[in-house]
Amino acid sequence: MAEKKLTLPRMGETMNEGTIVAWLKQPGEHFRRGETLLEVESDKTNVEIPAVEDGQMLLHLALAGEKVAVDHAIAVVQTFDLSSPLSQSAESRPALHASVAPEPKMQSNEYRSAPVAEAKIRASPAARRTAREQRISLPEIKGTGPRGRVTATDIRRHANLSAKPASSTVAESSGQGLRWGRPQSGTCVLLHGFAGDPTTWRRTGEFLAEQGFEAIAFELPGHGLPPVPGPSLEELVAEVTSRLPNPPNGKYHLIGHSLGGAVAILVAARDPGRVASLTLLAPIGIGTYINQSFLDGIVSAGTIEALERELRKTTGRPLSYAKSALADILESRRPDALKAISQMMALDGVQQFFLVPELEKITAPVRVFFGRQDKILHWQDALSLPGKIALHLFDTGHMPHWEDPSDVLPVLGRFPVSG
Amino acid sequence: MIETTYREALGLALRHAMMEDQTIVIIGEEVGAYGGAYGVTKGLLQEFGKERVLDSPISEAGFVGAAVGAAMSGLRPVVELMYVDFAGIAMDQIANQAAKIRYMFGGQMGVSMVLRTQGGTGRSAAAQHSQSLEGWFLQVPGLRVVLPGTVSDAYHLLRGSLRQPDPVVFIEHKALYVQKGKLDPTRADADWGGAVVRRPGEHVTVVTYSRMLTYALTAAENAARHGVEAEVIDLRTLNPLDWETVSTSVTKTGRAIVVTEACLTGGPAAEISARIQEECFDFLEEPIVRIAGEDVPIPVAPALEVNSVPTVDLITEVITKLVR
Repeated sequence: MAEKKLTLPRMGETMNEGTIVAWLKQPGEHFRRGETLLEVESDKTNVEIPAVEDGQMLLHLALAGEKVAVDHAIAVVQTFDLSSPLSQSAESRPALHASVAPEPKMQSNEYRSAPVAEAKIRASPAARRTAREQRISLPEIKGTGPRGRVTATDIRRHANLSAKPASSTVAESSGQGLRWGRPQSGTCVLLHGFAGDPTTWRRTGEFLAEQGFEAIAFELPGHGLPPVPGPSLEELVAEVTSRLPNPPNGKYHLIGHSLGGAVAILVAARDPGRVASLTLLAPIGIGTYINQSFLDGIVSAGTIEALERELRKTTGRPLSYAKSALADILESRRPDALKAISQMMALDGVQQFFLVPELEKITAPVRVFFGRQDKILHWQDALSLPGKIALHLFDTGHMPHWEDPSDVLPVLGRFPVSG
Repeated sequence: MIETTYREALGLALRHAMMEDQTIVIIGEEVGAYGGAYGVTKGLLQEFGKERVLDSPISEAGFVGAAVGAAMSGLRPVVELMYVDFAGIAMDQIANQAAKIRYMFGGQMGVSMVLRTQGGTGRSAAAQHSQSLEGWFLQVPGLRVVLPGTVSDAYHLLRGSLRQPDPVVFIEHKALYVQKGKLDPTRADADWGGAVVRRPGEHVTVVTYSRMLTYALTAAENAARHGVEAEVIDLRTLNPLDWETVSTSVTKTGRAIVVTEACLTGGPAAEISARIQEECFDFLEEPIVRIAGEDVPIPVAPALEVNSVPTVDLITEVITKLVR
């Protein structure tokens, strides 16, 4: 690991200075090689400056709007690539220019819609064609071919997992939510995360339906069009509790993601008799850290580009999103309600509720799933949970069930039995 | 259906063609009294007489040129070049004359001639008598290039070549003359110009021709013991090239290996794999692999000679590793 200073690169023969337009990586935020760190304006063009190695942003030395001379230090970063010949200590200032961005790509004011990461994925031509046909984004797939190459078989396996072979797996709209499958093996209740919606459970719902479960995904209050004032955590819990199903055997498996995880903990703690198991995916409420810049960014995102930028923080590898899907999200969100929920959840990057004591009261089996590349929460917080809680770690970001369904869902679908 | 050899099948094809077509004549070194350097034309001088089977002096440029002239005058000569390695001496007659006549004379006449020759390794014939030079002819538009790999094809591809309106370079393999096989003179494995799937398989396509066909088939059987099923395609003719058969197979398997005895650099394997890439790109799971002769003069020492061209073991290994 090395701390080093980023300097403003020269982006043209005549360039002597540039203006910082925006920092896309905030202090504390991790970045991968190729991700955009900041946007700089020089003469007539705006240029995105990419990271040349993996690292973490420590400090901005120049703020947005500031004019900076070429080769002047603009930030302090920490990089993790020891072997890189470009690694320089913060002291050796003169050569730092080379470690920032040797050849920044010139482009117009618009952000590119396709993420840089897409081009770097190893995938066979057949896999790329199959992915195009199935409308699957390649970064979602884990490659099993040589050197991690994604093969057409990987795509088909992935597609089959999320396919809809029987009509029973098709989601039905049920009030403010979605429903999949029939309750042959049991019923699952799915609670989405902050700024999410029931459709983030699509693959999970379809998978559970194939396994013989009924899966019901609620829409949390404050998310979606019906104007609901920003609810408190208690109000979220009360709303979910009032809508809980009454399955034939009386019990249901409760699954919550992120904010939905916090809600699920409280619901389970108050309804102990009926919860068959509790599964928490990257839950809030078991640690203190939360990525404030993500919360602020997602609340205030008013454009497709800004929204996409924030959504990329939710996954381990940046995914690409369809413009139309992003536009739909923008249209259906309630910024005021989201802002209120965000303030209820976190203040200055600190989570505002700690639910481990409630978690300890729950007698049903509890499982926690985390991605080790989570950029929203610290997965390490789960390490200090009581020993009776099973911890499953995946090579994903904040959305394990959504990013890597082929790895995560088979584990998710094997519900623990109590006692 | 008869059981015969590659050598005898070639002789039989010449005999049957000469009985059927009075314009067919044979010219070359030792083709008459001696019966051909590899014995293919044995007995033809006695059967058809010295008007139709002509022993020539040792002058490749001279007798190939004579054959081109004979073809332009209405005969259908079969000219035998003892080694394909000697083509250089006659190359002006082949590439500048035979291949260009139809074009240069506005289609008024063609050169319906078959240049029979043989190439490849296998007899310690050393660097000047062991090359696989089909790539030279492949570079000349106007020439047909035929490389039989089975006894049946030795007969049927030669009969088919003797019906073509344009010059055909017919390259036999010196190690195949003694190969035994079945021949039904009334039925070919496919039309002249078409490729044949010699072994069906679902995991990988092996595209080859001439002696490497035998190697590839043996390698495919070895690989099958490891659970890998290779589809082996015998191209039979490099010009024309049957792309439909190749692309249908590669589209199915997603993997292609091209095997040639001809050396790697700038060789037929490069051309074939480039075409597969162009035609089947969206269906490929792996890079196309070329297994070809080493870029070296063929050594005379048998152990070195064997390893200067692809071996069955090498092909087996590549097939199994490519599929895993």
